[in-house]
Amino acid sequence: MRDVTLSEVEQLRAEAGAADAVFEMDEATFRALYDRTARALWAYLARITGSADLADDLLQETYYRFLRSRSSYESDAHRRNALFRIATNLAHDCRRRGLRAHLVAIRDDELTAAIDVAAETERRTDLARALSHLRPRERAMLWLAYAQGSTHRDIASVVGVKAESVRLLLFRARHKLAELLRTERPGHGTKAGRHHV
Amino acid sequence: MYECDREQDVLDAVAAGRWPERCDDDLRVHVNSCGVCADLADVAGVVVEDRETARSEAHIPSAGIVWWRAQLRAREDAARAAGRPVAFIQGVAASVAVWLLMSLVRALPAGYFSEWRTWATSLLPSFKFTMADVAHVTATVPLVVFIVVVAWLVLAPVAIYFAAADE
Repeated sequence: MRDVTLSEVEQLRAEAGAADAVFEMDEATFRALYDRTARALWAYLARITGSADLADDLLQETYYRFLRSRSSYESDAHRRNALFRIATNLAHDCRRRGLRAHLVAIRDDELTAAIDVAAETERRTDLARALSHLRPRERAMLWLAYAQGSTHRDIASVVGVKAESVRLLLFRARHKLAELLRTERPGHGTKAGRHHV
Repeated sequence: MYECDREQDVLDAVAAGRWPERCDDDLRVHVNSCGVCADLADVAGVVVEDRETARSEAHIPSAGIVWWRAQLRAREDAARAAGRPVAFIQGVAASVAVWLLMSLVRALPAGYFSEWRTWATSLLPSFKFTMADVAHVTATVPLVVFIVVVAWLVLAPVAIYFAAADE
């Protein structure tokens, strides 16, 4: 291995310092935040885009933009909201640029051919297919509300709607998804009588 | 109607994994008779289950990798941002230098490099710029200032080029 000269060490140190100065947050704080949020953020991206590969790319980009934003946040909840807002906007940009979610573009016959016989896979495919029929904002709202447990105010801040509108929009999205799930799996659902008293 | 007083009870039951088998009978009765809560139970139940699946299948890179990539990207972006005004100034300086050179060539008396001068003249805009104009400028502006300005216009792009190349 080649020896590193003193000047190279100084240069590396200076470069590291310059990069640190670029970000408002230090590495230790970032690591703690990342460990608390990355898994949930990846799941959110994967479900609203319908693509695990796209979620991989957007996860890195989301954290980069978050670090570059130089905003100060009052609490951990604010940081989390900011991350989800950036992720939502990135997913929206991808759609606009034509990088549509892979799953959304899959034809029904292709999807059927890919369905695993296992019940878990079948359930997930039903949900994925049903979600693909929703608008991106509806997908985001439903995921934030029920997977993340976000408040209406948080949802409003992430998807960019008025807080007062969230309840109605959520109701519509929920009803639409419930109907789609019942169509996908006729035996499924409370109304279909799966859950008997 | 798009809301129900018992939505929170349904959500709590779903989140705690009590829906539908291990929740109160009256909640189940209510859900079976309430469209809002029925939709909520169906959707929240499926989404909560899928959340666990999605989180378990998430193959996220380590925090250190993401931090390191972000640093690299920040450096690249900073270098690109710093290069943008330099490139702009280079472009402007080069354009001015070319314009000045061609104008001076055009201002030369007839007979100097006549063939290519005619060709170059045909490329230029139609305004008149003669040695008399140069003489007028040098008469009104101190000669030293004039020389400094011309030298800067010619040498600045070269200097900027070498400065950028070192970086």
